[in-house]
Amino acid sequence: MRHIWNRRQLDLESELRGSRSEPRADFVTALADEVRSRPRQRSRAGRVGLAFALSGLIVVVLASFGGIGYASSAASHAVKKPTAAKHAQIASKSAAQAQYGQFTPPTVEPKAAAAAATQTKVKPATPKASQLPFTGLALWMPLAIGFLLLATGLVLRTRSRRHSSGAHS
Amino acid sequence: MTRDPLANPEALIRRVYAFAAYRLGDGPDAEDVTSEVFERALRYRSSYDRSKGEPVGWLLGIARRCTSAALAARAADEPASGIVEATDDRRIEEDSIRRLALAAAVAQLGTRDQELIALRFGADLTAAQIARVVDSQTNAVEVALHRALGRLRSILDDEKTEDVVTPQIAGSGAR
Repeated sequence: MRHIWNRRQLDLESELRGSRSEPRADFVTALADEVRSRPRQRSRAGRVGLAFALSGLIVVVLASFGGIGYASSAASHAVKKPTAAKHAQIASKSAAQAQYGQFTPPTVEPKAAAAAATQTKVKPATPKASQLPFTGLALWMPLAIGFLLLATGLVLRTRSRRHSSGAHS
Repeated sequence: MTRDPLANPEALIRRVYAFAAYRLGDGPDAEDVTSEVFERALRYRSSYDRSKGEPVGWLLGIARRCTSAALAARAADEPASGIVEATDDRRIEEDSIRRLALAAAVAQLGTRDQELIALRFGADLTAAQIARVVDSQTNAVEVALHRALGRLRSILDDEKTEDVVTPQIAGSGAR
């Protein structure tokens, strides 16, 4: 055995490199095709983080342009309209109304009416520069909520990346 | 920022296979381990962190675990088997004999030495890359590699190597 090694100058490192095995070409092709056929996916926590961040962005945009105020006023209108219609319908079909005629509410005395008018007189809302239109909400509030949600999303993404790197040695 | 670690699979497959073949011998076992490594890599693809090293280091980290599991399973099945089995139908030529002798000598090294040699000369990693894979210092890896090569050289110089390989050669020649 010794003569085999002595015949040439023993360059162990070259010998070790030279004895490196090569995989079969069809094996490499098949495995590479398999790898390419499976697209990259986001991690679950990353997806949740992204969803939070996008939701936060939508809420901030809506709040900034008075979307919440619009929504609440639309909801109150929707509640008022059917109630009024219902009252009118009942009144027209009431047996008492048919018997005693239309009900007229008692008139208020002029002095009391004037006092009530001065009490209910409300100054028109004049939004300041630091307030949002329609809602009167302070400008910093939706911004703070938005930044908080965005930060939450980013933190979630970073943490998910660190946690799921268990396969990394 | 992450990047797809499996963007260029062919080169990575070759290196992972070379590492596995160094540890398990050329053939179906090495192919199985390579496939398993890439299966796991696909499953944990999103967890790859570029800041922790190159994709090949990440894959070889997985390959180490898969190879250890395969070696443990092999030891349980056939306690007496070794890399020298790879003789099968190879021609008895000088290069083949040298290669077999080398494989037999590497098989006589300790697990740690075998792993370092497989990472250095099989997967063609630098000492710094190996240090990342085995979670060690570059200097420590360089020293360990140097010592492993020294041990390998002494095994090859030793008459014992001849005793291990010669019957295999004789067996192959008789076919």
